[in-house]
Amino acid sequence: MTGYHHLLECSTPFGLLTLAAMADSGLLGNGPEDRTLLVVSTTPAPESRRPFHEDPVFARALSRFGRVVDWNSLVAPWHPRHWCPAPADAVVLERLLRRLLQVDEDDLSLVVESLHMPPSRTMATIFSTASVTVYADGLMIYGPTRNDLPESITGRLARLVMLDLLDGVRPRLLHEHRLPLVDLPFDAFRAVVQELVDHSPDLPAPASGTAVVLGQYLGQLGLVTTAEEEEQHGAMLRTAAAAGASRVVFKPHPAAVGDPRRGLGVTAAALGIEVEIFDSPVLAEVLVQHLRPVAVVSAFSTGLFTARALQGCRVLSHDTGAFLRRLAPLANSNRVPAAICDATVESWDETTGALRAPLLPLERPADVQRLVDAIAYCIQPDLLPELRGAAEQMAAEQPDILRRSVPAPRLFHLGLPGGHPGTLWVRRLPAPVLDAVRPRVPGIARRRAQVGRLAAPLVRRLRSTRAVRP
Amino acid sequence: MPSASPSASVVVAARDVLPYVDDLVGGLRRNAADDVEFVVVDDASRDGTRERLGDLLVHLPNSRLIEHPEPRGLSAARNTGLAASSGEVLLMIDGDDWTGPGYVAGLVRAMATLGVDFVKTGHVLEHGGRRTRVLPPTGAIGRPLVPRDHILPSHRSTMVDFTYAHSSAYSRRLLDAGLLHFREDFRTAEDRDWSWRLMLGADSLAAVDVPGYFYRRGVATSLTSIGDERQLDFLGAMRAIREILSRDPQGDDFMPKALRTEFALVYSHHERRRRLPQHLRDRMRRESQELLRSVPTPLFTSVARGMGPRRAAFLAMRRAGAA
Repeated sequence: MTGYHHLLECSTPFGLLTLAAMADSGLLGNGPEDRTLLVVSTTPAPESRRPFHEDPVFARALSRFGRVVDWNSLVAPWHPRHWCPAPADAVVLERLLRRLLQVDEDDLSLVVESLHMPPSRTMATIFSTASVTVYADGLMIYGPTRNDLPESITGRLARLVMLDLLDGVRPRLLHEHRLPLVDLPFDAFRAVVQELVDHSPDLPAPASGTAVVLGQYLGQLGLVTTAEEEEQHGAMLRTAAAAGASRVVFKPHPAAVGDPRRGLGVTAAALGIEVEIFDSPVLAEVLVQHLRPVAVVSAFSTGLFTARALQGCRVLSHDTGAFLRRLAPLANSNRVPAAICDATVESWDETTGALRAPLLPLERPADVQRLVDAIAYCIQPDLLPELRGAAEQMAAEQPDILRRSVPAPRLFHLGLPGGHPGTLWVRRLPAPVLDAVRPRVPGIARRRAQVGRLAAPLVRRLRSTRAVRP
Repeated sequence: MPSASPSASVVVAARDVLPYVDDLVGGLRRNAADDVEFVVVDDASRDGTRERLGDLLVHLPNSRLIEHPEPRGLSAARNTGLAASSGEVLLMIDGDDWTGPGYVAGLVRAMATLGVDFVKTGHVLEHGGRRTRVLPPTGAIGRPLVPRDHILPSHRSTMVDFTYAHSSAYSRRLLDAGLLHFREDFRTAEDRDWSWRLMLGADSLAAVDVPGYFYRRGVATSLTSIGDERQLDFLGAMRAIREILSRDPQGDDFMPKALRTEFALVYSHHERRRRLPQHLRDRMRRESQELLRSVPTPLFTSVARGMGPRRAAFLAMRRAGAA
């Protein structure tokens, strides 16, 4: 898009690299003077950490942007995840912010990460006439739109820019708005990563037989306890060993708390492999491109898929199915990334002590597309009715795979094969009662109307069982 | 006015705050400087706070960790840290809170330029990302004030009610004069009599606008949510305030203000009495009745009447032994 001034939201190093690659690919105007980077930190206590972009390692990536503005300082003392002005204030703030940022161009382009919440939502609200580009911050774009967006924003949606990490599988984020997809060239992204490889001091030395293990902050997401997380780390080492690694570079998640060293040493000694802990804000993609490892292991990190797509690495996961079962609510935005990883990545089975081939190999993208579509439909049937066919097909033909991501009561309430209404006492209800609560037409609003007010408490009860039983 | 920047000590009291330790120390690191020391007191944490503090403080310049072998409470932890500090300017931070960049330097600069005994700034109340600003109850920002002039009126919140020990900076003079010492027998409401002593004992103060203190609310281990006898320490704190005022030349002027706060606390604790077991409720009724009865009737009536009919009626009944 030329002739525009681009306001670019950036909250992670991965986002910064994506934006830099977009700039290099000509997707963001002609030069730095056309771009203003709005850097945001959305961690729970952002004031207590130095913003990532102040690390000199990112200086070259930042050189694409004529101006770099710290959004947190602009909205201080409020948290950028929560602050959004009232419409009456937004009009004044737009005028003031345009003056402050010196963007008085009529043609303003806003490039953001995830429109369903602040700060992206806040920016789209304030810059009320800007065209809106969404760029992928990982696998979450394969999941459906979290909340329906107001027409005042969707009417301005211009494009969705993404790395095609799944060999042509189409994302379902904002799918209902028929948004043009723009593929970010892999070469451009690799070139930006290479800049960081060349300018990151203290990267571990490449060696044959090296695997990379990417820790995740599942403990902080409340998905596992610290003890389980440590056990998980041990299992990831066994996975790497099973893939033939003799040395493991373990990269803890930058947001993770606690000491990853606990538990790793003992496991490594038992396996006879060497472990190096690389606790650094350096991106997983940088580490992988530098090391060219024999394998990359993680729970469901986007890093697995960038390693596979960009570097052609063998990737493995461990026990992603267990996380999937615990994820709540259904619309948890980690569900689709975890489901993709669970289905498409070779995994380590702790009980058999062997590697398990993927259920849906990525070599057959149409199968993966069907899974993505089926889950997206189950989460957002009202937004994505045209994906019902995929869901029906999946539920009929590969129910075991779908059921790993979508609980049976949900399938039941959507009238899909393979579902049941939940707990045993409910299943024992007389058939006419069950028929009454089972919707004939999908759609929560219409279902309410059909079942009627008297049955509503029962429906709520039934729907609440989702969280109890997988 | 002194031109060189004075040295500062940041005193941190922590107990069982493991989930917040990384934010705490991260915030301290953003305030690290050559002339800033950090004295962190762990009050016998049992959740691994001490170990995590030990790991993180190794990398924080001018910091040290002091450990209480047995838990002694927030007051004692602050006293320990203050006693071990050496800076000319003293700051206090609670272990579940955090600070942003420029916070310590901003307060130290305010102390140096204003030359007052202590400065107080606002803070941000943080509740799972939702935030509220809490500001000093005065518009006289950034100039020296006489503390005694900012105690009244009784019907409005004033600097004496702004009891937060954190989000402030204090001159070492106050510590040497014994004015910063917290009474360790008060495990809650410990800042009430402390604030009165400070306001009556210090010669000067200033309210300033230095952002950067984040005060976490809704923390499970927070004392305000615990329903045991520690909740009743406010009664002792109120008796202590009356004693302080009885010895003060202006005590009679300030007494209605102190009584109003006391009455309001009696009422609000009564409203929340259900968190307490029966024997503590009985004790609270008995002791608060004694407190109310010891106030001469005309003074009681004038203070209670200013608090609105609902609270005035309750207080009169409690005083008469009927509530």
